[in-house]
Amino acid sequence: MSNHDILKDIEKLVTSYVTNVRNELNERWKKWSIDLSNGEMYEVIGALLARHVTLATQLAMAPSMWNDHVAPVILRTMADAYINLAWIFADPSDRARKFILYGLGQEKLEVEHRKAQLEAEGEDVKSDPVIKSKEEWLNSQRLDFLTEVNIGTWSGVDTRSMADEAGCLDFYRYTYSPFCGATHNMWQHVSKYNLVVCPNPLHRYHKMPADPALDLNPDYLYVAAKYVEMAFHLFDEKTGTEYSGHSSFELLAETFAEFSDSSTEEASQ
Amino acid sequence: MTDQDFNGRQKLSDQKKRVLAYHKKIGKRFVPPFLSKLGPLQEIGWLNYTLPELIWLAILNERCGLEKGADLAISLAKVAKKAYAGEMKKWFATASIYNLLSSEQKRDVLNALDQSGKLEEVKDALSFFIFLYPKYPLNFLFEGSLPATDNSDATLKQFKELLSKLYDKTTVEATFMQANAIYIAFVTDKLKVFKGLTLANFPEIEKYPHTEESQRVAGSIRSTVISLIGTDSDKTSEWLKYFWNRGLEIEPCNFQIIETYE
Repeated sequence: MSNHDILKDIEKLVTSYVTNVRNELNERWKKWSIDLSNGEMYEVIGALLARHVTLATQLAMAPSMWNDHVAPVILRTMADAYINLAWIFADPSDRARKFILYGLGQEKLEVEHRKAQLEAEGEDVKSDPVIKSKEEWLNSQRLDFLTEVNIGTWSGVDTRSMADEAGCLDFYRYTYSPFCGATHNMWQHVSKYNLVVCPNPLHRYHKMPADPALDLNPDYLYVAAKYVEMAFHLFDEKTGTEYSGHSSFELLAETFAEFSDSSTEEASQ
Repeated sequence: MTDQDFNGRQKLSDQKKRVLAYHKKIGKRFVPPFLSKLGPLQEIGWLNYTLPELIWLAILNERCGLEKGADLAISLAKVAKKAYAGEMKKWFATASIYNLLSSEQKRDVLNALDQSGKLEEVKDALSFFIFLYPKYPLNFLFEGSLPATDNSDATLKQFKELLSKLYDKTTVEATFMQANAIYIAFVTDKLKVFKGLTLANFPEIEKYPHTEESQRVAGSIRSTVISLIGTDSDKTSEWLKYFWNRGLEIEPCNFQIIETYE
């Protein structure tokens, strides 16, 4: 199989997955009975579920990111979204509100910082389109003089505790934490991926900065799709929604298996 | 959820032992039992301390052979000990210790070594190294002048090959380098061992790494070297800083952001 054929197969696989997973999200949303007297809860849960899908589809459509440099950053964000969603589901009305108020506070803080920066530069704050837009967004939900700014965590506890309370501590341990190295650019990541050993023995085999090319690893797409599947299952379990359509994850897994079979056949010929 | 997680690993809740359970929890840190019982330790880095201090012994071995290399090393250490005559017993295996000698004492070392007929042999063996590293503490052997030497690429390559073998403290080259350092400790009365201890069978090291006993003796030598370096060497010696940085001057590092995308 030529590289061109492989790329065409990847394109087909990605297109199919993106279409399927978006359909899955839409179908679930349609099946969920919405109670607009508690609209915030539905919006937060819907947004976080869609966020899973967005992160997975964006990763899917960018195969150049299917490597150890970038994919863990996306997957860590997905793991974070999952833990948030799972924690919110334990007390959805109250926690969804907390989630919104924290986000509004963060936006307000950002606006205040921007105002201070513009004032320091002698700019006219009132005519700044960014501030105007952000304040309109804020005030459409809650007047800014009523909005608190919380500089702690939005939930009041750390992510590990959230995962523990939500019954997904293993997910935190085996997924969230390992991907933190790439996300926070920690030594266990950068020393492996952004340094190479100088081959000269006179130089104590010191390490030099590097930006190495890494092979494309389709497993990252598989893992991202798996996290979306987990979020869908969580949603189904907590909301009682009965989804009867195809699983985008299972379809993707089948396609991967077909690729694997055809590669094995080619190798044996 | 099954009893396995999404990665196929057994769920932690099903495991009998908690991870790091054998560590001591102090605040948010898990301290290994070795450290929690002994307290903070001074780390003796092989590359930072031991190798630069003992490298002259490996060079003598390489240039003169193991028997002659050991003989020259012992001869130099003995005359240095005699010349020093300080109250404390010093370990004349480390390079930096020779900085303690006064000009007069260095002169005594030169004279004694010359009279034994070994000065020229030592100088000949070390000349290329001191040509490369002129601030080496044993440069006094050349009485202030840089040695005339064969500074060909082939000689540099040979030195780099030796150096690369010394990065691993268990190689034959690194082991005999350390063995000579311990040998010096024995013959200058710096070190004595009880009968029955592995190190008491020191001569077995000549069979390294071909017998199990020689491997045990080598292990004992390594741990004794760490102990002696820890207690008997100057960790602030200029030589230790100079050695590796001088390597960058000898052959500048081709430092660049490596771009390997095609």
